Amino acid sequence: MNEPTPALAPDPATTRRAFLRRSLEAGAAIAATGGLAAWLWNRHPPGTLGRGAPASLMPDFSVRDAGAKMAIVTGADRVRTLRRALDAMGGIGRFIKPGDRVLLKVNAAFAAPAILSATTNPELAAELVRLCHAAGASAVLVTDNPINDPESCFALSGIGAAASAAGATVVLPRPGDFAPLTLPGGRLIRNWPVLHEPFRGVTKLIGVAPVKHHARAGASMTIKNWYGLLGGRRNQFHQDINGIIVELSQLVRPTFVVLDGTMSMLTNGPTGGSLADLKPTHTLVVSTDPVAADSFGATLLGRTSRDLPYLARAAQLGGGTTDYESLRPARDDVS
Amino acid sequence: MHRGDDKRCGALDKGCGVAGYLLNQCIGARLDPIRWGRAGLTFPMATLTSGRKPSARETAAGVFVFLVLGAVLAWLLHTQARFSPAVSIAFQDGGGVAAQAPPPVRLPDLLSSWPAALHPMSPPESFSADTLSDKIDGKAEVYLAAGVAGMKCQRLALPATSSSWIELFVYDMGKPANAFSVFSSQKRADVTDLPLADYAYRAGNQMAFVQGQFYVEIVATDEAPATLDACAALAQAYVIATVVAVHANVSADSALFPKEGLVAGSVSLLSADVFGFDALKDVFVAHYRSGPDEVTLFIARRATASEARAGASALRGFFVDDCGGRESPHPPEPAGAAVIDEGGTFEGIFTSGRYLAGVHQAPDRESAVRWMKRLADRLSQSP
Amino acid sequence: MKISTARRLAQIFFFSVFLWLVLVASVGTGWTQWRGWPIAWFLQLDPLAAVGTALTTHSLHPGLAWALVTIVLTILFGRVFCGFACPFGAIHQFVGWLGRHVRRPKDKMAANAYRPAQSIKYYLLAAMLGAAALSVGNAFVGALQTGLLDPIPLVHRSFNLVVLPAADLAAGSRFPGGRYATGAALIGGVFLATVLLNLWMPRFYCRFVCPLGALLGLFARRSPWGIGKTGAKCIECGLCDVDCEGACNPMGPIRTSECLMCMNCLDTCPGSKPLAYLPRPSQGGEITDYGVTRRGFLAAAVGGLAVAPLARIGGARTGWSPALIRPPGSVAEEEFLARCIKCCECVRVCPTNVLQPATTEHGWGALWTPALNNRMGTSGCQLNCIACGQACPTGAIRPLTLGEKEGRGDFASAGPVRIGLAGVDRGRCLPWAMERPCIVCQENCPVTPKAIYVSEIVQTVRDGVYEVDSADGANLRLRNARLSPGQYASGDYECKLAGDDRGRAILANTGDTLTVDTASSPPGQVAPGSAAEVQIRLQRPVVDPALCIGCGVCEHECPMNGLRAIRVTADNETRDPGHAILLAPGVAGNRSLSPT
Repeated sequence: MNEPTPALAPDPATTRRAFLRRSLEAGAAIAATGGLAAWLWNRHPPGTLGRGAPASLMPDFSVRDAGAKMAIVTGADRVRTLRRALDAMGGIGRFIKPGDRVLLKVNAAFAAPAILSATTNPELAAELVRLCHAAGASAVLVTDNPINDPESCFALSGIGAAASAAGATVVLPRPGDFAPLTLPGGRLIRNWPVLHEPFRGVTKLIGVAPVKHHARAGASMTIKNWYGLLGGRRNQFHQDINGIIVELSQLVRPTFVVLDGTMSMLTNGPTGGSLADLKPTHTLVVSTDPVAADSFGATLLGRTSRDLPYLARAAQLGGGTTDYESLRPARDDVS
Repeated sequence: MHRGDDKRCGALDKGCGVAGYLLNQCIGARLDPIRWGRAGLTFPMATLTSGRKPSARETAAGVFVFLVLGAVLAWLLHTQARFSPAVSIAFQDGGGVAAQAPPPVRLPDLLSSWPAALHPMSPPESFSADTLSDKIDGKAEVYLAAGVAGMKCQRLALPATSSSWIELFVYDMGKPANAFSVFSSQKRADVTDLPLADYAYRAGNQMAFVQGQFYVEIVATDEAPATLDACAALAQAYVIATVVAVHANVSADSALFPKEGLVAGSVSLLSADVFGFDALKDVFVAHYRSGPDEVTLFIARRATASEARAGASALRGFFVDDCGGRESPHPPEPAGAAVIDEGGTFEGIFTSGRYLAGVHQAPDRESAVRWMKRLADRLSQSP
Repeated sequence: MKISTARRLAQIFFFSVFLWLVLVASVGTGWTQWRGWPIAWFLQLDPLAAVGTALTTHSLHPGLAWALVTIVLTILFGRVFCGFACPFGAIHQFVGWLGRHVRRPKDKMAANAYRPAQSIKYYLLAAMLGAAALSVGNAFVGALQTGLLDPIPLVHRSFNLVVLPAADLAAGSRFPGGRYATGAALIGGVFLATVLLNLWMPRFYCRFVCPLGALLGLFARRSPWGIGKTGAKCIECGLCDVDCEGACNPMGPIRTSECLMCMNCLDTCPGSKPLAYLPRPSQGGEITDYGVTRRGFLAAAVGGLAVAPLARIGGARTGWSPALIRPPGSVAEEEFLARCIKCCECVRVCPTNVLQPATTEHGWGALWTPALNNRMGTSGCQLNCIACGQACPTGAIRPLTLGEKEGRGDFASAGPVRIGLAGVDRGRCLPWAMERPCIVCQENCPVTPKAIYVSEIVQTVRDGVYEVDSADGANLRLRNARLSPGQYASGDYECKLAGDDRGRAILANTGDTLTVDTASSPPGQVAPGSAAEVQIRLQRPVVDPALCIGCGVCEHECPMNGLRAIRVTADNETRDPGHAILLAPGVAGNRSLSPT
């Protein structure tokens, strides 16, 4: 049984006051609920299915007043060829200014040892990091979105250790580091996740890639290097490999690129696997124009730019020029 | 107990009580008239006789509740008449796909550059099914029977002369089969087939062809070589500019006719009033010649085999009853075929699966049976 | 007229409306069909669905604005929804009444005493809303599990999937083959259990379990009007408890959030009527809390909060289930689970019965959410149907127009909505693996042009190489042949003779003689001892991924009844770009569906 309560004598004043207070509370509750409902009201019911507009575009990292420059240096020692090439371009100080936050996009796609030349050479990467610091960069980041597991790729290729030793921050991509981008006029890069987080506050972008044969695309050099910025199920793009490379050339505008043809992978690219795949072409190219760099790089593979369909198309769309001689590349030798 | 207040109980309350009481009885519960407490209430007697007199305010509240229920009911009944989209799409003749309006008739984009230096003599004209007769008068009947949706036309002058011009007519027939139907029903006797399109011919000063759901006619003022050349150029340009695939079905069905003996170019689709029978529609006919004999074979695809049989039976009835024919004995093959003697010519009708087919105006019974058998063999081979 | 009479009639009315709306929920214009009836109205009135989806999606789906009516009425007048309108509550009250009228009033009063366990429903509410609340940017999306115990979806689910099909079967099935639902035993079991518990304690579910009741209790606790004491002398007989549905202790300090507004206490109270429905606060005192301890609340809320991260770590996002095919128009899976209240209205209206409530094969979070099962139902997902999206009250399935679903008109460049991709299992397909003609799948593919096309092959049948013994026109007698009559006469078989570059159709055969077609080309000399190869012409189905929409008609029609030779998986579904396998239409190699 419930507890009995003493009978109360009703006091009209207090009860009325209490009732009024309750009514006000009720009114406030109703108003709050109504307001909340109005605020949350969903005018655009769900499910845009990602057919929407662009998020943001990649900034242009090129240095206008440095002009279009290219340097081709032959030699077996990457450190020396790199330094000579940069000097021939006017010195790294033309491109990297004090306080710059520099992002180095290396090729760390595979967990393969550096000797196989399937990834960016760690010494080359480390030297570039040191040179950037010498030029006054406030920070140098090294990143890539590898095909294999990121940790083992950066570790086994040697890039991770070399770059860290030189003072760079190695950024391993995580799932939340990508943001959807749409290339204006692009067919393929529409609302596609692109590596975004490492680019925060970055003012200069340098791409570093080895010269490699590629079974599907023909060759993998500086433009194909940007494939490593794509996220999501990017293997779909192999259905239109030239198309995606062309769109990448439009999407990414770096400060300059380094094309490492010291040991070029002539066959069985892009993974290679045997030293027999490599040829000591002993050439290193630095260029502000990736299309020109790749056009020259094709010759190291014994081909011409006409053999790589994406080059002509990229040039047509204003990504650069296939006629690298027109840039009057500085040629030198450090052997 | 408050029996004295019985009368004050509302009818509804009493009703509720009675219903409750009866329900109790129905499920075999025995009442337990326990009296307890100082109240001395008895359940369920209390529900019947509960002496609580509801105040006016309480009754008003109850009435208010009823009003709300009534409003809800009215709203529900009102809403149920406005069909949900899920329901209404199922009732747009044949489903949403068929209900999609056909693309509007358009003259080709070469309006900016007519071929053969033709230039427009007058602005383009546009007609709907209702206004079609304004342009072509009684001839509109032919197109209306075949389901025309609209027509556009324009006159174009030849460069050199002022007395020659050509007029281009584009009829939007809605479906390729309809376009083919008006094409074949108007095909003149003495024509030259053109390689222009699957179905195209020239007859004197006129050219006609089918492009998908469009039936196109080009009519010139004379047959001078220059004029005809201009017509040909215009037709060619139109075909190139409007790349529309001809619907497969038209070719498929008309390809069912046996090849041997077929008079070239004689396959046509009759949309209505076939053989004079108003209930017979959408029948492919083809003319055949075998020696001195000339017959017409016909094939009509229906939705189901039973529909085909019903059509066959109706046609048989038409020939016998309305045309005064006499039915002659069933031939052994094809199964279920009917042969009707129309006094001079013979009609043969049979069905093969979904197809209703037969022979029209055969010279004698033997040839009717023979042609039916050939046709039946051909039809049984197709899916 | 007593207010309790009005309440009874209101309950009968709303239950009848509920029953009607469940009954008519099938596509059609007949008077017992959908027409324009607002079949999801009760679900829209349900504030727990509105609050839950508001927490998980940070938005209020338009139709759910009806819930404001319920909330406002509750804030003002108390839990009148529970007493007057809730169809589930009406069932409980009725069954409870059936069960207890045999008892003595003393037992009834004992059954209706307040029990501290009545606070369990508040903990359940806290846990469910906690699970829903944790939406942190892209990392976690709150899990909406209110549908499991929310009475309105529960009663819809039970009636849609169990009660109505059972009645339908008993009455000699109007639906061809009967309507079935996977896991109906569990759904029906839960329903039956909740209903039967009323025989032990009236309105058991409402008092102890119902999270919606708990939510309404939160709104009602300080309502300006409600049941209370007038101040007139109360003899404390306790008879107000005899029929008290909410076990709210009307005699003493009434528990305002437990009172279900059944108004029964007003009838059973004798004497000078100390009890009435009046402006509050009650003269007899009130208890406006709900017996929830702070520790208990935190435990429940945090426990709920943990659900989303735990699901995420369990690989809910990356290890998605390819066998989970959602209805066309569904939003991407995370948002879907944030919106689906498991009412199964979509399953009910699906005209082919292909939509089924998932059990646990796609994860616990997807229990009772809709998924296609192409082996069940009459036909796979119909091309010209948009029923499921129109039935969904929370927008988990968007209401598509037919144009958007089929990729026509304004949607031509986007293409049709795909729910999956069919794949031919060449090891089980009759023409691929078993030398038998079929192509039922190709014939039934509903899109134009068909997504399944055929590639034709001619191959020699097993033991099909013979020697000709003698030939007589079209009849070839074979050496050492033991055929069954008609074995090769189906029209698919050909006989390749030496000297022919292609086979001749076999028209008939007896035990040792083939009759081949000689009409199309007369045979040359057929020497005795020359080879005669019996071959079969097979059409083999191939799927074009650019055209397939995943409707499942092919899988449904495949004659391999067990493990079908063509099966649909959720690959390439348009609702989630991460599941795409092809590049956009119009790119190299892919034919666009639209003719432009």
